[in-house]
Amino acid sequence: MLLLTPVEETVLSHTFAHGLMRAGLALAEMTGHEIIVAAPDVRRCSPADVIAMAGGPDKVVVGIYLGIGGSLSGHALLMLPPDGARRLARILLEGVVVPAGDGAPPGDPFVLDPLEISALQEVGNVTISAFLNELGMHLHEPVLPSVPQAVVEMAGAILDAVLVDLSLEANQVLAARAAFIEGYDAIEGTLLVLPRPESLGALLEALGVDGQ
Amino acid sequence: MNTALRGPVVDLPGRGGGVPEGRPAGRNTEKMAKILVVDDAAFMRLRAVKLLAEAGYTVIEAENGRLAVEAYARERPDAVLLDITMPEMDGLEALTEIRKVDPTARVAMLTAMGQQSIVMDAIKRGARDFVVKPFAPDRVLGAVSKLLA
Amino acid sequence: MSSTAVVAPRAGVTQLLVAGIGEMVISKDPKTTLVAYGLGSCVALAAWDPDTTVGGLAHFMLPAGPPGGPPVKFVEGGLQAFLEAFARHGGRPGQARLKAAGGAAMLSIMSGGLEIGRRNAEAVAAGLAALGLTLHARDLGGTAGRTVQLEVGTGRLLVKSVSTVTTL
Repeated sequence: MLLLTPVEETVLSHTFAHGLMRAGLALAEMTGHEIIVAAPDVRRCSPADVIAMAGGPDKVVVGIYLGIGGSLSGHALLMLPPDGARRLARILLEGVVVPAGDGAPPGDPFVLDPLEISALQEVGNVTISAFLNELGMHLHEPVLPSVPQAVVEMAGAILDAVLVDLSLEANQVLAARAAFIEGYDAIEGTLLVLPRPESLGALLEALGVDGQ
Repeated sequence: MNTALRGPVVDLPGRGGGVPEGRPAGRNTEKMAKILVVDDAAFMRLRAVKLLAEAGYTVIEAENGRLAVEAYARERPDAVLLDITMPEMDGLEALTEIRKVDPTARVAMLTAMGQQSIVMDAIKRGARDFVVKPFAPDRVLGAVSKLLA
Repeated sequence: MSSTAVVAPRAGVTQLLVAGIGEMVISKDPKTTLVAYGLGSCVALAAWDPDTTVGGLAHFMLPAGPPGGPPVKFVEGGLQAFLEAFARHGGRPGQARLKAAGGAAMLSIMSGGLEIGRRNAEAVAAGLAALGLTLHARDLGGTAGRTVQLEVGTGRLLVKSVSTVTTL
């Protein structure tokens, strides 16, 4: 049940927005490129709305998923368009591996090789952990991300199990979202954090608004 | 000329590059310190191995805590860089296990998780340093130097 | 190409009806295609009556749960509601071609992520069996997402993944 009061929602939005900015900073540091965090937003919405935020149910994206456990529970996803994901992987792998063949065509962006997948998983790990670290600042017990998992799939299919996990007793979910834009290589991504509302108690208390 | 030693773990799927051979950066007679890098991300291991090998270290790897403890017992590295979030056995548990094998083990955590409670936990378990990703290469090299000092 | 384009329906077909997550759509207009996009753990049930040319598509989320929410959120209750709506439009569940697709496991790292798709598939099969009905075809499980399209005019059911298209 989503029982957040308006005050709780406001304070939570503020905290989450901070977290989203931190995530953007981490992404910038990792890529060495400037990242713009656009439209950080925290809202209650339907599962269908969340799928729309991700670009639509049949939009093929590279999704990097992390489960959230510990003193908060829920799910987080960093989503990138496949060609953007490939460009991002290239940025990260530059100087670390010699690219195979000079001038060889990039190949199907829907198929990522294991090292690209690993690089992207690490991007998800670092970015989402930065968000969770920010939240964890307020808490005595840590927020614990899972190991990351990257998939190239339709957004609806990736979000299905996540939304269903949050929807058994509720028909709205709480979604914290930001768009990330890396201007130089024209890479855009969306970070989506979907906390389980029942797990927000400790955080709300730490922020001084539990029950207000 | 040193070659980066690979631990018993992941055959890194190369894209043609692989890992460069380590060059003793100016030093010629010192025993090359051996560093164990532990991270479940092949990409991270590759980055760390390259960075350390270019700085003249011998590097071995492990992709999870369990393999890290085995590698430590077998190879007795001079220092360890240890991620936290890994499958099978996480870094904090591995830290405890490594310190059981060798109470003097020199371990620095290298992780995306930077929450205070985690830092404290790691320090209590015997970590000597804590580097939060994303990291600048200097920070990691500095951490390794400090461990070996 | 950044999205799976709907495979062009046969010439003359003009309308697309989307069964969003937890929703159902029914039509007896032969110029209509019913679509359920991006099925991960969700299961879509397609019903097509070859004689009355009525088509229906239901997009289930979960096996069962407390009341409330979209019409076919749960297989339990939703399956009945879907078949009743199908019947009200002139479709005969007993004579219909029933096909199910979906129920995949996308995120193995997510706790419970491997089971929910399978449980949905089992719930649909069991729910139909309890009504004396069986599936004529199924494309369930696995680790790939699916989009399904039912052409009301022909009963043709296409199942599309990121890399493949099959007719069920």
